[in-house]
Amino acid sequence: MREFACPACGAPGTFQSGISVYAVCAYCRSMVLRRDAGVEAFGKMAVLPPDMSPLQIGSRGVFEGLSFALVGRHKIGWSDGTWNEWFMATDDGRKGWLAEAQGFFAVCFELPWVSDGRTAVNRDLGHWKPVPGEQVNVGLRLFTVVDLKEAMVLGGEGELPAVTPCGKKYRVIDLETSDGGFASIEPAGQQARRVYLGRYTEWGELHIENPRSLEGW
Amino acid sequence: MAGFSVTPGRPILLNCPACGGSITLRAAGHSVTAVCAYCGSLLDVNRPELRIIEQSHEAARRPLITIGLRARFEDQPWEVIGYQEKSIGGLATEVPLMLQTFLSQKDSWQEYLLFNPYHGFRFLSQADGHWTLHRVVKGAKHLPKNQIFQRFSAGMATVDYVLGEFYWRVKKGDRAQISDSIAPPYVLSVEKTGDEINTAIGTYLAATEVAAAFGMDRNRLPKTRGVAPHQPSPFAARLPGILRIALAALAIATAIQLLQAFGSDGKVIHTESFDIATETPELTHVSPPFGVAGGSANLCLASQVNLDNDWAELEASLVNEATGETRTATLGMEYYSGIEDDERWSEGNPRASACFPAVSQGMYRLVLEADGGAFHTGQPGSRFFMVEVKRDVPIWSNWTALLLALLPYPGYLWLRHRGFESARWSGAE
Repeated sequence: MREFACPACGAPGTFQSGISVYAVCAYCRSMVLRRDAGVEAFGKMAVLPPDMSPLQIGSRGVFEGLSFALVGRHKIGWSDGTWNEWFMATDDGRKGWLAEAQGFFAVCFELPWVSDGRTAVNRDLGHWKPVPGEQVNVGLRLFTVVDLKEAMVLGGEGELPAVTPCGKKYRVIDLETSDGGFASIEPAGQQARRVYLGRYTEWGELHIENPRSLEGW
Repeated sequence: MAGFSVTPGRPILLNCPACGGSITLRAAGHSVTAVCAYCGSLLDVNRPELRIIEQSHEAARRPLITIGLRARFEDQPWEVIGYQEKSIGGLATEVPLMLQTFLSQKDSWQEYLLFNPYHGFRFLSQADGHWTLHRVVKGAKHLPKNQIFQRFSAGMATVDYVLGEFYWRVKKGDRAQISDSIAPPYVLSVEKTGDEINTAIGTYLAATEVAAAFGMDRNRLPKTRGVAPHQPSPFAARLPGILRIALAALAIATAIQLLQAFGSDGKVIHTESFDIATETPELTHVSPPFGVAGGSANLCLASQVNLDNDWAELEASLVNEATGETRTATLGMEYYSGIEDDERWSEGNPRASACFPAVSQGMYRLVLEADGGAFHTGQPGSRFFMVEVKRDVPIWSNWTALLLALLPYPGYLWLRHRGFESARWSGAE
C-alpha cells in the first residue's frame, strides 16, 4: 500500500495494488498518475452515472479460494448498454477483473502481456475478422465468439492498472464456452491490447463482504 | 440527468422528454430502454441524456401484475420492472391484424421482467393461465441434471407490446426465432436474434405458487386452460407412489398366501360316493361319521356327478356329532352338450366345490340332499355322486380379490396420464 496526497486538492489517497498505475481522487475526481518519485495529476474523470450495482470500492470477496478486494472500476459503454469492470487486487498479483453486465457476473484475469497475440489466441489479430459462432482457442481452451462490440470507457473510480482515455472507442470480442467459460479479446492492430480469461459466476459464489448497501434491498 | 436519487438502491425518477410525465427507473445502470407509462413513448435511458426512440400518444395498458410489485422466487425478492406481450405462429407482420386472426392460430403470452440487484434478471411468463419462471443461463451449469429434453415447438416470436424498462433494446414488432424443448416441469428455450443466441431454462409454476409469491389472491390470476407444454402431469406424479403402495400390498398378501399354501396340506380326509336311482329316488344320503383333526382350519367339499344334458344339486350339511352344530353349502352341477351347425358345443360343469371356513376338530357327518332333472322325469337310470372332503385347503380367492381391488386405481391414473400427455403433445409441432 502506498499513500499519496492528491496533487490537485491535497486529499489523501492510496494505491493498494502494486500494479495500479493511476487512481481517481475520490474528492475532486482528478486522475492521479503513479510515478517512481511521486504522483502527478492529469485531468479530471467524468462523474459515473448512478447504477444498481451491489458492489463498491472496498468490497472484498473470495473466488475459487482466492481473496480479492475491489479497488477500482471502469464503467464501459457500448451502443446497447453499459457494464462495470471492477479491478480486483489479489494476493497473487494477477490482474483480475470482476465484470458486471446484464445481471451476470464474470471473473476473469488478464493473460500476461505477450508481444504477439497469437501466443494466447490462435488468430492473426491484424487480419482476423471474427464472426459470431466462430470457434477460437484462447489460452488452452476452445471458445465460441458470441459478441462483437465497439466499447468505450465512460468513467472510472478508485485505482486502475491501465490508463484508458474516456470516450476512446476500442473493439471487444466476447467469447464463451458451453460450460460457462468466458473470454474477452481487445485487439489493437497486430496485437491484442488485452486478453481476459475466466468464467461466469454468481453473487453467492463470490462471498462478498462489505457490499454496497442498497436501500430497500 | 435531472432528478437523480442520491440513495443507492432507490429508483431513479426521470421526466419523459416527450410528455414530461414521471418515469421510474428501477434498474439504473442495466436498463437501456424504457417506456413512458403516460404517453407510451419509447425512450433510450442508456445515457444520462434521455432520447426519444419512438414517440407515442397511447395510454399504457394495465398488466395483470403491476410494474413495481415485488415477489419472492428462488428464496429471493424480485421486482417487476418490465412487461411484454408476445406471440408466435402469426403470419408476417405485413398482413393486417384483422386478417391474421382469421388466417392463423396465434399463440400469445405475457412476459414480466423481474430484477434483483444481486441476482440479476428473471422472466415470469403467463400463457393460458400457466406460469413459468425463466432464467437465462450461461453454460450448462444451471440446467437441471439428468433430464432429457424433447423438442416441442419452434417459431418466430413477435413482441406485440412493451411497458416498463429493459436491459436490452426492445420495441414493438421485434422478432426472434425461438425453439422450445421440454422435460416437465422444465422448458429449455433457445432464442436467436440476429447474431445473438440466448438460452433460458424455465420452470413451471402453479398459479397458486405465483399468487403466493406476490402475496395476492389466486382468483386475481387467470384460470388455467388446457395443458402447458412443460406442465408436469399430475397423474404421473401420483402414479409411482400409488404403484409402490399397490405392489407392496400385493407382495405382502402374496407372501402371506404362499406361507399359508405351504403350511396347508389340502389332504383328502374322507370320500363319500353313492348311487341314486332316478325312477324311485332316495334323495337323502347320510355319510358315516369321520374324524376331522388339526385345530381350526377350513374344510372343503368337491363334488362330481355323471350328467348328460341335465343338472344336479347337492345340499350338503356338515353336522358336528358332539354339538349338533350344522353348516350348509349348496353344490350345483350341470352339463349340456350337443351339435349345432356341425359344431360340437358344451356348457356347464359336472363338478362343484364349496368350503366351510374355520372348522374345529372333532367327529362330523355329512348329510347330503340331492336333487336333479333326472329325478323328476320317471325315466330309469341312476346318478352317481362322489364327494371328497378335504382339510386345510389353500384359498386363492382372497388374493385374487385383492389383486382386482388394487389394479383399477393405478390403471385409472395411467389412463389419465396418457390422456394428459396426448393433450400436451397435441400442441407440439
